[in-house]
Amino acid sequence: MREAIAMNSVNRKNGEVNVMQERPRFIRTSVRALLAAVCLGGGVVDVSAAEDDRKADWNFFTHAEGRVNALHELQGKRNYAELGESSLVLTGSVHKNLTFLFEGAYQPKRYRAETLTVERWQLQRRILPNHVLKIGKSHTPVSYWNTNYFHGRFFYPTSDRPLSADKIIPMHDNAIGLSGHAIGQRGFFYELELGSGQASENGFFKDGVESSTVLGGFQSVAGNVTSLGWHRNRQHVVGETHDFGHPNQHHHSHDHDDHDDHAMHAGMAMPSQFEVIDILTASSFQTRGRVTFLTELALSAGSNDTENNKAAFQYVGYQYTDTLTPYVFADWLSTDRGNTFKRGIESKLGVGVNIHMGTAAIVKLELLRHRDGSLADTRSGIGAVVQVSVAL
Amino acid sequence: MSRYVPLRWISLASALVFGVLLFAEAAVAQDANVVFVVLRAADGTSVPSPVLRRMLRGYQSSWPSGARTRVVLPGQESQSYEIIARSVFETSGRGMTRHWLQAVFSGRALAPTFVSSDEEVIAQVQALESAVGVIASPPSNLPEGLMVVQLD
Repeated sequence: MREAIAMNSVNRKNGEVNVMQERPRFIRTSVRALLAAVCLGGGVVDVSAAEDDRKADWNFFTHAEGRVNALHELQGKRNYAELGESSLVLTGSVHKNLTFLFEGAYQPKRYRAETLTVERWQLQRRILPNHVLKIGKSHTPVSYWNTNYFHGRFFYPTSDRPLSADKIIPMHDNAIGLSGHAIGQRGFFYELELGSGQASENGFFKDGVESSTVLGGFQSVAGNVTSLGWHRNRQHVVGETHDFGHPNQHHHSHDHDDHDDHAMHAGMAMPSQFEVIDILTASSFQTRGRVTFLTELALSAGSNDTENNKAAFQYVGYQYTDTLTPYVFADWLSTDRGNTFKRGIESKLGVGVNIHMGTAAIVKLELLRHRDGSLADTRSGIGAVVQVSVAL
Repeated sequence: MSRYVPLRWISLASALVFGVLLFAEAAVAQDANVVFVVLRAADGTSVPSPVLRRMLRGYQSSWPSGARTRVVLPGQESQSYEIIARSVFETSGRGMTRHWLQAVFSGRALAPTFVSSDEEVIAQVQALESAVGVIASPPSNLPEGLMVVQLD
């Protein structure tokens, strides 16, 4: 497999992208069979449709935020206030075993190149009790954050993603997968996905199967989750990335959120090299009375001894009242010999409060000490965030 | 903007945050009430409480028999709204609403049906195939084909 991957890289460098010919036949066949199963039905559950099986719901999410950070001056950025992404989420079912999800997002032109984007779309076909086949574009299901919060600032426990979700874990994948949940008394769950790869975020298997994801864990009756995940991406971009602004253009830059990510897919040139990157994750979400703990750990390794990154995130929130949840968090990212990242340590240490305004709005106030070691000047700076997120 | 936010401003902001906390509304903790699950007799007479809780929370989308679950919950206008939220979700009514908003947003579950009274919960469970609902007190008259179990 490694040889096949290496061959892919060579072919790409020579402009001879012909990955499908090198892929084992059974993978292509499996993907097509899964596609057919999802689209046409199958499985052992009843597929008969009734009137009350068809339903649809919509929700609208948006947020605005202001950020000041002493590091911005060092990074050549400005402190800013902006309107974030506004998302329309449609969910529903067309019969009892076939459900759909669509998320389209809008952000004004002044903030990013593409104003309208499709963030997620997915068809889910229930094939067995508590087991579904899925096809579509969604967030790579390899960590708790990525499988629960997505783009939703409204649901984030802090004002921003962990650095691991921001800079190590690929955000989206066009994939086909199988998932199961609530299996056994301990609530085992799993996610298995074959995807199009990070560089093909807006192309569905155009280079064949380029990514794989496995996630497994347990979810208690109370909702406490412990999980381990593995993700391999054969289209990890290395090389000449400095011309694209943020060096990590395929992930979500925490300071400019989705801008760079979408700018990359708005027609900018592709770097010249790909490599294989493996990512291991461990996540834990625990609630003990009024206290909530969220831990995210991630390790990554590139096939050319690059992208040897490590990240750890810890959040502790205390539900003081139904309205107020003060919290603290620590976030740490170490990059070593990375081609995409500069070597160094980035860290955040913060304190904040979530103020719930009914069920439709949340205000987050946050103070943090931020050190960005990916720059030559690694001094830390104090920052402040005010974020208002709304759900309708 | 100076390079560093002065320490006194940080102290002031911190004092403000914790001052708000000190004078905020009373804490939310309340004793959980006993609540009752309404289901169709055909969907299972011996479904354990943990399984029912998983279904009501949106963690489990199928009955043990294989049918897809449809969850019916009290809405904000229902007198059972807070009681059910504390007993089943261990949070406030608003917390229960946010919980389900996130479950739907993540694609894990379809939106439940929110109704305005226990009577409507029972009516919806009767009307919807494979539905499960939760009420604060058992009814005096239960329609044929339905059953009520206490949620342990």
